Amino acid sequence: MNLENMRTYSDDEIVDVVVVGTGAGGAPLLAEMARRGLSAVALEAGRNFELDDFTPDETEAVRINWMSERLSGGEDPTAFGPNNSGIGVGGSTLHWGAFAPRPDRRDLRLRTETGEGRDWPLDPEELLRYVARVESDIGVSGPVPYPWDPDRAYAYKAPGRNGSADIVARGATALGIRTADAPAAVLTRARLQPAYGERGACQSCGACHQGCRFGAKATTATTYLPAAVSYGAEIRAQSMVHGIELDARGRVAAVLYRRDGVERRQLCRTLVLAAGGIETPRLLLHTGLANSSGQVGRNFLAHGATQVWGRFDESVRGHRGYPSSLISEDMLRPADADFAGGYLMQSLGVMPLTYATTLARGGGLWGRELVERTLDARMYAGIGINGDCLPSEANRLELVDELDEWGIPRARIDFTAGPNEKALDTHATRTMEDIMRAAGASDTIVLARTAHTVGTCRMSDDPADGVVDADGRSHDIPNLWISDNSVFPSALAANPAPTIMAMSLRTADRMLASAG
Amino acid sequence: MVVLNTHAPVIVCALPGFAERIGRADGDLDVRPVELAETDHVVAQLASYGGRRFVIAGARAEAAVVVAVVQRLLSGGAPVFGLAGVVLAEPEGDLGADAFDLPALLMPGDAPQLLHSASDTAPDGAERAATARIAGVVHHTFPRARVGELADFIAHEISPSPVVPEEWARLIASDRVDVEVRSILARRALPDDAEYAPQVMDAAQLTLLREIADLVVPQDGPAIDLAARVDAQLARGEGDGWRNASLPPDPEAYRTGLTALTDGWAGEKTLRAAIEGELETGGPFDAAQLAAWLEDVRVDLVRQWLAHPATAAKAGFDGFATGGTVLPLRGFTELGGGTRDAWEPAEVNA
Repeated sequence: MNLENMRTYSDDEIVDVVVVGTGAGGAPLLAEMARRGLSAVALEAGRNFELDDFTPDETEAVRINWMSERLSGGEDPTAFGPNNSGIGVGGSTLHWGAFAPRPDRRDLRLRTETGEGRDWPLDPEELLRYVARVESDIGVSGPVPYPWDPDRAYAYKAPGRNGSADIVARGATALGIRTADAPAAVLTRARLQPAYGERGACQSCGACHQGCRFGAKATTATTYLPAAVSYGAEIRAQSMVHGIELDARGRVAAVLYRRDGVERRQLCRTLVLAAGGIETPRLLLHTGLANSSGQVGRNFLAHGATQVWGRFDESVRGHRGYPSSLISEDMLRPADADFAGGYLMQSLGVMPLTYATTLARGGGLWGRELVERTLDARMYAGIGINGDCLPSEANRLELVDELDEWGIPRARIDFTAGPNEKALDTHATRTMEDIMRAAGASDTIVLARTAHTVGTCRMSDDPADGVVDADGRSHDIPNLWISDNSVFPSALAANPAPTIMAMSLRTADRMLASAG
Repeated sequence: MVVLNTHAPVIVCALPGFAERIGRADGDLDVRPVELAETDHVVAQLASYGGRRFVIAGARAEAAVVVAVVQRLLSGGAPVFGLAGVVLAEPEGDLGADAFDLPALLMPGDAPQLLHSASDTAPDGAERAATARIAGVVHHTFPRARVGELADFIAHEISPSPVVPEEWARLIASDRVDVEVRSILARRALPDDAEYAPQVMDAAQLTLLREIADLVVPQDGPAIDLAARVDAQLARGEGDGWRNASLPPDPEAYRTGLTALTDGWAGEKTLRAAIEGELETGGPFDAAQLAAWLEDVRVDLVRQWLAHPATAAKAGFDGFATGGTVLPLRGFTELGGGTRDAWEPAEVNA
């Protein structure tokens, strides 16, 4: 994005707010702070990108992914890197799939409903109002009416369905399962984005996860960050935060970071961590701060994201078009569920290396079968889920002795699917296989996978039970806030980015209100 | 005077000095002289080859033009695809500071001709020193330069590697492809070095990884040296952003894993047991670690294979041809089953 003529601040100036991270958690809040006249600096570990810095080549596209190694343990080790982790001005919104369902009210009250999981310590209606505001800010395409929420409207018509979407719709309809065009933060006609300029319409290239070269997919670098800069915020790229300095009263006074190999220290009145479900707790564990509860790093949540691929006689070639152009919310509370919560289903298009990786890992394939299935990929249509995940103490992030390139201990993340996740996955796999067979698949293959990095600094009313309060403020340090998916008390079935952005706007309002 | 063999697998694009030097060529070669030793002219000729594979050949001071053309093609900045190597006869002059890792044939000729400008007055000792210096310059620019004969060079260093079908090569050369993507694919399509010296593994480990690669990703016909490409990837420090917590960093994991498999290696049977977590070697990796490491190995190998444009063509994947170099940038129009856009290769639905 264009950072020329941006207002800048010196390290010695005590700025009102420092935000660590420029993705879905940091950017909306940064824009709000600057809009309300506060001096605000965002520190971003990665580089700045222009649209033509993105490439559809999967191997080279990892420049927008967090590739500094993380260690994965547990019985179901989570894949990081391109699977779920971004870097650069725009954070994970550079690589996100732009699949934009709203969080379901019932998921936010799961404990009350089922006795399992956690309730979110906030009013679901309030959160949903913020989600609607996010949709208006970034531009979301989708069907009107939306089958599961007739009151909802989308400003742009939904992206065109690809072969996978047509097949999944056919199979689901045959089974009486409702589907619809998916809500997607992808423009289907050009839009003048305030403070940015024209964003183009989607050209159905299929490379959303590699970075959108058309400006059609909403990222914070095409939406909230240009707005933030226009209001006077500074975005400092290639600045890796590794320390937090407190004053004598135990409040944050400065942030320590490295830029261009030089150690620097930015003075600030307030600090907001928005580095995501891995980097935020890693920084807190490294600094030893804000952890009187012992909850930092606990309750790591990963969405079940199992895929089923079916073979069809006619070629599908699902690398074309918006990848997830069909949704079903019918399984948010299946009538025959033997688990708490539920899952969303989406049709899947995929790029070849990503698919082959899943065949090898989640499918366990090698040899002739791996080669044949990879070369035969064009004949397959896919369906996948995003399934809720219950918090578990055993699923946690810790530091190991090994240091990364910045001298910070690497994170080890242990994840093991619990009985609820397994029951949900069994139900989902059966449903998806049924859909593919009803659509006429001659063969199906099930590929296990998880997605997203959620939890690890959860929000709680009780200071002993979480890291931040219901506003997002640290229970321990009054001028330290967290604004990202690490505060989620539970995973929710909805893909997280719209909720993260909504929570970011909400946290901004809470911060401004608390400052009086 | 040259003999044209349009069925030859590789075109020799002969700059004027080289064409004159080679005279009447072997009938198995498709040698096509160009009129001018000038970069734009040569690039225009290459663009007329219709997606066939070629090497660029120059003599003496034409070496600098060869370098300029290679630089242009590997940067993706020309509407050309198919570069497979270079041929330099009696090279002289300034080749610049860049290095290009592609097959290169060095034809030194007779020593007095090689050092035309220096040899008039120089005694033999100085002449040999100058020869060595020029060889050093060539090896800096083309680290894979080897002395030999043209037909052998093509037969042994170019032909054994997979070729991108002509229709697909023409698509990569077209204005539907980003300059950077064309550059990436041009580099990936270069033939592997049969004498590749591993950087992370030792020679025995590389040999074993090649055996594993043949089992994990069996390739019919001309094969990509996936093991060498994985070694180079590891040497560049490129991973996938995570590793199983039971494993050391990737380079160490490869060395340890390959060493563990060496004793008692019996091919597919051993590999299957290791992949299934049932091989206890008594070495530094237990059965579970071996299985976890081999999951990474399988992913690295299949990704290296599939990233090659010749494999993409086999898979019918043309998603690299979006964006492009003319406005408005373009994607796909037809999205439904069994459909294709007019610009897509004919066999994508096959």
